Amino acid sequence: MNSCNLCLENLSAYLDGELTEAENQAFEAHINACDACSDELALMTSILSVFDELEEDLPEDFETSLHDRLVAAKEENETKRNRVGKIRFISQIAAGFVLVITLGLVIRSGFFGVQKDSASGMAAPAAAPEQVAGGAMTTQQNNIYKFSVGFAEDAETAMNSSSITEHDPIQVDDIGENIVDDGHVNVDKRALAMSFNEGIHNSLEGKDTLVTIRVEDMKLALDSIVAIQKKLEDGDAPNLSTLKTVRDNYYRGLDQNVEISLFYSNDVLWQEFLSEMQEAFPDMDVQSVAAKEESEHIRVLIQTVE
Amino acid sequence: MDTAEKNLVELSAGGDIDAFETLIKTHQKKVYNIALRMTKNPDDAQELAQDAFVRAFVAIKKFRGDASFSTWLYRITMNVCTDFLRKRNRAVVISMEQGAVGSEYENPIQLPVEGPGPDELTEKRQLKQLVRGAMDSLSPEHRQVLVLRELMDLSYKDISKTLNISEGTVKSRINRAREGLKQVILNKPEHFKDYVVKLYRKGGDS
Repeated sequence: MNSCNLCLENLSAYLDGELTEAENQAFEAHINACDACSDELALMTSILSVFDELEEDLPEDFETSLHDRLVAAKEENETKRNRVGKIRFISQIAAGFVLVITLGLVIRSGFFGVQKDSASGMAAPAAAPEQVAGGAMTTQQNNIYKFSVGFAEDAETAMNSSSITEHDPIQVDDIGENIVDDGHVNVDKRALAMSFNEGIHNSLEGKDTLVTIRVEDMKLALDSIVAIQKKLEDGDAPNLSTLKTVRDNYYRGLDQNVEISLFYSNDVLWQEFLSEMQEAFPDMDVQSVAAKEESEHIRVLIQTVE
Repeated sequence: MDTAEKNLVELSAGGDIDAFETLIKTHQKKVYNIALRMTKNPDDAQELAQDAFVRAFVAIKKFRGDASFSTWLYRITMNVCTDFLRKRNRAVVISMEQGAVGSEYENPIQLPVEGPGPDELTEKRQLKQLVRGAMDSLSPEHRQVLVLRELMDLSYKDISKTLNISEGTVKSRINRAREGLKQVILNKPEHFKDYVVKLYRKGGDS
């Protein structure tokens, strides 16, 4: 890269005071010696100088109408809170079912050594994920790409496949400690089923809820999750867009295991999503893990199994 | 977060509307202006800014205070705005280099209205109008990053947290967005170029 290109690349960061001291010195040395870049800097400075004055005043009735909306939101929230107890009860029943099914699986595949044929093309989670080889799973972990709710990131992914390189592959450490134990998939379904409710509870206290599902047919799984999100009352559209982006990428051949971060500003939606997921993917693992960001997310990790 | 703010956050989490209104008092104008630059329409901006506050009020018990309240609030505002833009422009094709192609973005840039005299105030006003028009013609993601940087005055680190992207991405995106802004200004009607060049030459001499 020649020094003019480097200079232009650093132009914004220079104006924003975001260069390191060494970069700053190199930038200024070049600017002093190069008329073209010096003109660029002056031009950009003049364009940016008016930004300070672009700010406009609030509309007159802003505060009063906002107040009315806050009062309405508070009332609605209190009504919905009554429903949450009901959903929590239902999810406890669901968790109970998982426990029963899980024990059934453990007995069949563990005690009697029954091998489940995983070649059937079901979209549902692989019936016996315990059989997944640890080594294969580790390789897949390295191919996980992260998609999150921020619009811009989605937009970039959608519009330019090369920008996928901007997404850092999640390191195994990042999410691995809860899922991968010595290269083996954590198979303690009983504990996981028990933690289902705990996961919901902790979601209110700075924890992400990590949902792991293992599927044979990724397309069908993504379609199912999109359908669940659509079904949710007042479904959160950024989440829907995130999901669709992930699905489209998969359709376009970005054949990866995926982790999807979903944000729900509303506890009721959060729990409804989990309940629906539980119904669609009875074998899913639910864990409560430290939140990655300042706001809590539901992270859905979808792994393909052959 | 200072103690007073922390206190207000706790009260708000308990449903205290007065406390929440005190908490957001200093952020209202900023949030409104984010929405205004993102939507380009005062009515939508008011609606969305209020949506953001309502959403923040409902979700505030999840705010843990790791980041500043304002960063958290701006992030919610951005999510609300981008959600809105998506719904409105489902069919718009966004191109990385060219900004956006699509009906919404084909609005011609408003020519600066010729003022009564060539005094500096008029020039400044014209340039302001010019930049606003150019800004509105950028793609949503470029508008977004410029709003956070120029209007909110956020550091790259805070922008990175707000948008959940790396600082390296913030740096390159801001650079691309400003480059886009400049290109729109320089490539559109030719006299814009003379206008801008004249202005900065003048600035350089003083």
